[in-house]
Amino acid sequence: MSINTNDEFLAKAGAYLQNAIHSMPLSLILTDADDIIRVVNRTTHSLLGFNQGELVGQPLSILHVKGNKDDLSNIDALSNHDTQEIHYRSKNGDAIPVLFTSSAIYDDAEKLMGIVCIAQDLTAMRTLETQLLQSEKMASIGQLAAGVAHEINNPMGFIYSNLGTLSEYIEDLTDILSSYGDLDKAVAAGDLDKARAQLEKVHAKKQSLDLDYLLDDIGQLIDESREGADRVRKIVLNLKEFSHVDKEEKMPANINDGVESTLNIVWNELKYKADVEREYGDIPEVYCYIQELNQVFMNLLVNAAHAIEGHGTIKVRTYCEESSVCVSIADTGKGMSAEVQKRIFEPFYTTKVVGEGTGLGLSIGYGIVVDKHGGQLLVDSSEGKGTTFTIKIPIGTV
Amino acid sequence: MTECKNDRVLIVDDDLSSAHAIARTLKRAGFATEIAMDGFSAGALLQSFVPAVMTLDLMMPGLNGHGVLQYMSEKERIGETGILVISGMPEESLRTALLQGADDVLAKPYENEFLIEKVVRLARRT
Repeated sequence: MSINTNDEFLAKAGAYLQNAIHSMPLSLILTDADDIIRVVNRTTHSLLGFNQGELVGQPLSILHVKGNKDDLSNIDALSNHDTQEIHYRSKNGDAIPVLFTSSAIYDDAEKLMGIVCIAQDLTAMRTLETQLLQSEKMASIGQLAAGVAHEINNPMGFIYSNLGTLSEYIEDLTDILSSYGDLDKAVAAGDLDKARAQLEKVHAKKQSLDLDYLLDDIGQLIDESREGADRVRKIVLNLKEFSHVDKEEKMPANINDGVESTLNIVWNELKYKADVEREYGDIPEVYCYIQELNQVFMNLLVNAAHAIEGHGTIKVRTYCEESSVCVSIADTGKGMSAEVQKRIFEPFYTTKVVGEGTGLGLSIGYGIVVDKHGGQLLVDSSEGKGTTFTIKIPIGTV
Repeated sequence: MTECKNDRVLIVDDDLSSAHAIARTLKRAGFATEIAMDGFSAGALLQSFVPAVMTLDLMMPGLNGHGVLQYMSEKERIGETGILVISGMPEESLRTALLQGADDVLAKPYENEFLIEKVVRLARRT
């Protein structure tokens, strides 16, 4: 820069700064002390789909997404904000994941002038993570496949068999009805001897085909088949819900429902290994990724069943503690040594035989609970007595 | 109908609807059926009568089908009862059941005529 006058310096410095701000590969937003947006760089516009000028003059909270830890209108929180993952609301309403940090801008007299917000787009990283989560989920469903097939084959087995029996019952009923038809004809013809003989035949047929039993059984046959069809319907519904991918933004969900539908999916793995005790507390809905939490519940429940040698108890409890919703899953299995406990959240660490576990369940569970929900995943285990995992999810902003 | 000396079948299945479906089919084929809902009850019933055939589910609480087969292979086969394993588990489990001493296996879902055919064959053998 060749500069001749002070004004020229200021003009050039201003243009230089402006170019620098727009060329930043990060989203930059500056607000005034009232949280009104004053400066927005080009990266922010392309990230959120707003046109130039659309955001200036708006409150920063226009970008707030429910489920973020702090409200974007809270100046105190924004004055010194930790670097953390939040979401920005885009122009068309999508929640965009960003790594966000902000701090206060002060003038020379230490008076608050506004807030500077920096955010890095995490969409590509999130997509990759979602793919990893999905493949781990599918791998665990794959391991449950034999059990799920059994749960479906059982009712299908008796429905199929019952339909076969039912068609034979109908043949018998048709047979009896047609001999009544012959009786009708004899009565209509006024041939009483023939009618009496035909009546005998009808009675004999009813007896030989055991009509009383048949009529008695037909209702039970249909009821049991319906109940079986309903079992299959529920399994398919649960599987569908379970394999569903969460929306990008956190949604309010009832953790009790999530735990219950996950229990249904892994039921075949649990029911022969343990008595399952449920104790569902009166808990509020929380903003969360419920499908991902279900994946954590599934891993913990299957682990609990695997830890039990012979027959044991698995106790599932939900409750509120301070500003968190907690889920604890306790088994009376073999427990873990201190050495094992230290390593359980490491990726690919497993104590199971090849094919029984991916070694990713708990490390992914840790990522889901701690990184994505700001919660805690705690373990309490003693060898020979059992293990309790506790998940704590902060209830979050609404 | 069955032309068998012994027409009694013990159905071992923890799912009552499954057991009823088997019982319906076999009753029409002329067999008299009893139901046990787990391995232990089956063992108790086997003390009181000797069925021609026992149909056996694999997945059951308490003593499961594999456990029953193990138990029966260690004991003198009770009155030469034929064992037909009927299960919705994968083929691998059915093969294991044959190695453990089951006389025959039937995968769920099944056709009633195959169930009858297999039970009659085992009943005639005794």
